[in-house]
Amino acid sequence: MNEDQVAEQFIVDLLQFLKSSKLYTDLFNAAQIEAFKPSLRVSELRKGVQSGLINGGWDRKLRNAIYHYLHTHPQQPTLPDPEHNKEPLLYIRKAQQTWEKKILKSLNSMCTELNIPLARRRAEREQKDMAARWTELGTDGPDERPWISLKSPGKEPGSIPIPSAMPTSTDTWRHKNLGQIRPVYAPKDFLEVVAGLQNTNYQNSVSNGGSFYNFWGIIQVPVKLKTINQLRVQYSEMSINQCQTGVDDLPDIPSELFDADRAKLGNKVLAANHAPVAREFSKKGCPDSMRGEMWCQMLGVEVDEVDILYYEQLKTCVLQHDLLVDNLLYKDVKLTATNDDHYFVFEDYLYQVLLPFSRDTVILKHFSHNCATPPKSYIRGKLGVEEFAVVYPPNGVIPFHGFAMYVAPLCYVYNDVVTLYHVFRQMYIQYFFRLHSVSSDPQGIVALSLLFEILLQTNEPELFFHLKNVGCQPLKIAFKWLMRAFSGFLASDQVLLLWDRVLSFDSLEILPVFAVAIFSFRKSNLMKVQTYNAAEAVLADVTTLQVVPLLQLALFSK
Amino acid sequence: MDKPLNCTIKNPVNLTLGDIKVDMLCGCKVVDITFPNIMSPEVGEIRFKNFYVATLTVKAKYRTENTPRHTGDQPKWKTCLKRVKLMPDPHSEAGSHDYISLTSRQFRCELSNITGLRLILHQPSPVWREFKLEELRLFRSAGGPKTSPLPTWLLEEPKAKVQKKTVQRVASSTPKGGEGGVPDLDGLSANLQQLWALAEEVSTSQTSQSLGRFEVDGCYDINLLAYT
Repeated sequence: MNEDQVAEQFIVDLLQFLKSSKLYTDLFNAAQIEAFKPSLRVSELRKGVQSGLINGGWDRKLRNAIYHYLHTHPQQPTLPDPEHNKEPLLYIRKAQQTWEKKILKSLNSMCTELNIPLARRRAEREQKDMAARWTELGTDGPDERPWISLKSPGKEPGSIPIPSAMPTSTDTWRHKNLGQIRPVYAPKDFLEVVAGLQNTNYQNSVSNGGSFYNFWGIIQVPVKLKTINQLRVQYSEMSINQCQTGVDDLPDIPSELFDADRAKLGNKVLAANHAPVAREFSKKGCPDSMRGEMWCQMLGVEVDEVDILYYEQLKTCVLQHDLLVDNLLYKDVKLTATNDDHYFVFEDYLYQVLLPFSRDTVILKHFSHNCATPPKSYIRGKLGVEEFAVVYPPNGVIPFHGFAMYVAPLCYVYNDVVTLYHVFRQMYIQYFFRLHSVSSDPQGIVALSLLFEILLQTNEPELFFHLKNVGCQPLKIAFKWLMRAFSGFLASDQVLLLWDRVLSFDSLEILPVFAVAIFSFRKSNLMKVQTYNAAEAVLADVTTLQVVPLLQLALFSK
Repeated sequence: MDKPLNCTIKNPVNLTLGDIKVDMLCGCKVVDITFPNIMSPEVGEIRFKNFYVATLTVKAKYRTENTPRHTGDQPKWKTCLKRVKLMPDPHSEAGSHDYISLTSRQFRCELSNITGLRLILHQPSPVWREFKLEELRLFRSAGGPKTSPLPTWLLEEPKAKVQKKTVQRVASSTPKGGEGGVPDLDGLSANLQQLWALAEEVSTSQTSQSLGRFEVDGCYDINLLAYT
């Protein structure tokens, strides 16, 4: 297939997508209304309807729909090997498969040890009970429930009289056993996988004995990266001579200098409701009051009745089935967000997003261009029968330690759970999935890690050399930042300013740039450390850092 | 899909400097292709999967006309493709495993009446141990002049007009009833045609929106995960 054919096929797919979308029907109806207008002459029907649609703002909607389609569907030729679209490099594909197998084994052994199924249907009463507690799943959570103290630990739940309001066996189980649930993997484990990647066709392989071509950091995959100059061009809107939201709109600066005009422009942009314009505007940061809507426009999230209904359906799915993954999510929230000064208030919100997320089969679509494969299982008693094969969890994503932090900062932006949910889902399938799957994609975690190492070597060679010499590879500290997109490490408003840039520049490369900036900023302290622990201590608390000035420092000061 | 040409692809030959025994990578390999079983070979498309080849040059050896059997008659060589970039940056992975299709549109000269092809593979970066072309196949034509799969309305005419015309044409070809008491067949069939067209439209534009079902027959009781 040559390029033209690929392009044509892509347009055909796009048309098919548009035709089957709700927008098509809406456009059709709007066109009909236009056509019925008495002022319209039959001879000018076509022109009249077209201009009517444009005046009604429909062309903007169509443009947005096409823009988002282009954005989320990479143009791919049909290849003899479908795996190739997911990941062209065999050794990376294999590494991801091995890693997935490890996760599966760990989940299975957890099931066997604790003697619980991966998924089971909730009894009617349990469902009702959970529905009643839907908005307070956290406070009513496993750890603080008073009734549990009634029970002596050795007794079976059935052996004592159950009050009518008493929650049922799952919750009892959860209460007792959440302590035994452990996160399936943490950034540290994943770093080992990423660091272990080796191309056998590369001269650095250990079997060759030579280390001449080795990289100085821990990532040994030669992915094509942008140079610092290319990054400067890419992020030119952030240069020091340009005013930025998050710096120049602080309360002590008179608002007529920047803030007032910025707000005016922002309102205009929002009124235009066009994704590329919103992206362009947000490159200098979103004012807090506009962030919610601006992000929705950039991500193409417009919550309508169907979306609300869809969320309700997911909620029903959560009520119907109890999954082991739920426990992982509970545990994760308890370990991260609940312990965080910035996010503990959002605990209930997080459950209302994360639990439906695990049931959402729309997420499965992103696996067509993700190296990862969703785990598979069979309905109980039907092992090996293909008709009874199912994906587990329904969205195919097994959460890791810190997963909840992808959602937490968004809670500051959206107070409506349904919007929050759809924004998070879109962010996940556009960006976050790349941060925990092995891939050679320039936006993948491997490339981002390497970019961090190479940038640090270029910007701060003596610092990199010193840290490497004292046995503290910088990536060992920075990896968890990258994998969680800095959520939970920075102050929440700073995370949002950083994510503004991720969305508006449509790239995760800003994350390694910022990680380098932190190392640069703490350089004088880091140069004095002699051990890994000391270096970690220097970088343990970065909540006081300001994102935008540091980014400018790293990108434009040298 | 047409069949690949029947040709003999020889093993790649490493170019060496000086002593052949000295194991030295010079970053250049040559693959010769001959057509022993074809009368007048013609190549319209070259397809392969790359494996760390940075640039590719293709030279063609032409059959000399009239063959007057002069002793000093050299076969004519022409460069068909010169240093086509397969890897944007030879030191890094990008492009190293791509599926490539080179068609006659990119060729500098027509590949007909040839006796052989020579592919020259370059890899200037010393970091790769091996570089080659995999799944190399030649095709006579570049897939042929395929009709565009795009709907006509996108290219020129609006679709509605075309559809109406067909409806009218079909309607006019139906025999006239005209008997008293029988409804107007013309009108009836036209309406039916429209109904049919509507039904067709609905069935072709099935939404790809999934219903979000993950259970099988309402059941999602699972004990353990399956390794595949």
